[in-house]
Amino acid sequence: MSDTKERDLVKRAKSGDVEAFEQLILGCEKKVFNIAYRMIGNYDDANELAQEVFLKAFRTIKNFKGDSLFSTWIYRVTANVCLDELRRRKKKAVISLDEDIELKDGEVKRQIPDDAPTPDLEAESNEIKNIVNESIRQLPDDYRNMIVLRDIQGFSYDEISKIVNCPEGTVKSRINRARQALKKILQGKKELFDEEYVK
Amino acid sequence: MKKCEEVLELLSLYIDDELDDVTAKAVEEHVKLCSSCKKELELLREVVKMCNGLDEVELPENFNESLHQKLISEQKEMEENRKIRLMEYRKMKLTASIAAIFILVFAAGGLFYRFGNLSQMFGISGRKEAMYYKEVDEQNRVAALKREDENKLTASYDKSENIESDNTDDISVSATGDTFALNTDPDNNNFSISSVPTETDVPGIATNDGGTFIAFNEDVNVYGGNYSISITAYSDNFNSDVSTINDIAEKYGTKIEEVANNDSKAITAKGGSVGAIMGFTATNRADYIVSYSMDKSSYDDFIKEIRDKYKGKYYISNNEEALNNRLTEINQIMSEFEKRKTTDTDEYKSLVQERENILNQLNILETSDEIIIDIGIVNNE
Repeated sequence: MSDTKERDLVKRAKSGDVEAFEQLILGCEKKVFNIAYRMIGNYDDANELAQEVFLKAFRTIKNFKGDSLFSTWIYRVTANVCLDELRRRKKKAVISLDEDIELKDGEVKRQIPDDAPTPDLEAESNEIKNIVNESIRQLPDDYRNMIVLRDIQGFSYDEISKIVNCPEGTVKSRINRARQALKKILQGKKELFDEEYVK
Repeated sequence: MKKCEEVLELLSLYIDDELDDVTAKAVEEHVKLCSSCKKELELLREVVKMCNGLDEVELPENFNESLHQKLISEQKEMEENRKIRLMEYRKMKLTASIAAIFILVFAAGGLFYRFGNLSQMFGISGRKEAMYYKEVDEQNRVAALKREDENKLTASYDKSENIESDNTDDISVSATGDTFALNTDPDNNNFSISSVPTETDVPGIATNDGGTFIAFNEDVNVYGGNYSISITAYSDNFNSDVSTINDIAEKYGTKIEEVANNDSKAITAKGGSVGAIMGFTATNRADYIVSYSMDKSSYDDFIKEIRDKYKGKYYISNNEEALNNRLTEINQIMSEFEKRKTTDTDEYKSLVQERENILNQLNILETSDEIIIDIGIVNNE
């Protein structure tokens, strides 16, 4: 979409024009949905969450100042809505969680999986993909966010830093740690897998 | 040569091609020689590859449809809120033109009434604060009523022009659609003024035999969807009335907040932020304000009990009544328009709008779970 076209649509959307807003979001709907899906782990929940993202965006579009791409702003809303939802669910679950997951020497404090209902595995028939999916869900929220944005959605470091509103340096180290954490989880699963298989 | 610790931190960036040539080279060199870091690099690469391999899922079929519905209703809600704000503004004008009925009776001994050239000030409460000055002639008869509103417009009512009086006690002054009845009792220093909407009847006027009286000005405010009412009581038995009124109110609602302050500035400032305590004029700052939350039926009962308690010394104006009267009026006018098929005019359209606003207000009043009652008690001892 051309710059001027986007600006025009944004202006109309700000004054409550639903049609203009729908045109604006056309290009990023699928991505938003997929981010939500990978973050929350459940197809139906992702549906609700994604709609909530767009609804929230529609309500707060007056806050969009045009200092980034509109899509970047939408992804930021997405990330925030997902993280908020995960946080909200944790509060409901009466589980004690470990605190800050800081990777000092590669040690991962594994978080207890969140309270969401068992994820739909319909998209992944492949066994490996299932394992990867499950492992991602076991990541702490922040790391999960990084993996989803970088390795699943393929955003650049620069884009990610805009989406999560963090300096690029922070993003870089976080991505590294997220991957290391994921690696550890996968390794753990592989051992279990091997054990079972051997038996 | 780089240390393993350093290299491990850089592996992700290396994989993603985010390192400058020099650093990338250094990492490469290290990895060639260091088997553990090499292994780490491979594993990390594998992880990234697995994640990349995850398929993108498709949007649910009804996603756009469902979202569209939600956006449309959100849009409607935003319009509604805009309308309510507009309605509040219009209601201000409506209230001003209907004119709240306000009765002031000063205790015997007359705090404010003076003979001679000094003008008498009293306020008419309502959202529009208007000050009325009474000028008396040598015979202590009202010579003129001057009114000064916020815009500093002076509308003066000259006795010779518009004031009609059957006797010196009742003087009707009418100008620009507002009619005022001035009731004077020259024997004691009491007088009262009531403003009478031209179209509707004047509800009963309280007697002025001095003592405590309650003037109810149901100043209606639709604020954030809640209906609020403000009530003013002029008490010459302040402390007793404060506790009496509180006792009664507590039976019917829950106390929200309470301000007892002699600093009238603080009270009006606070009143501004609450948004509902606006019935206080320059001369009548409340010395005590308390807010209660009640539902409508409790409120009706509360008023009933107040009436019983302060029999004969109360007055209450009811904006709900005025609204209903106006509604009837509008309906009549609208059917006139429709008969004459002149429904295209702006007038008709604004009537439609006004009617909708009134219905909305009445609806909110009826369906409000919670009415906020701001009770102000003025110490007239």
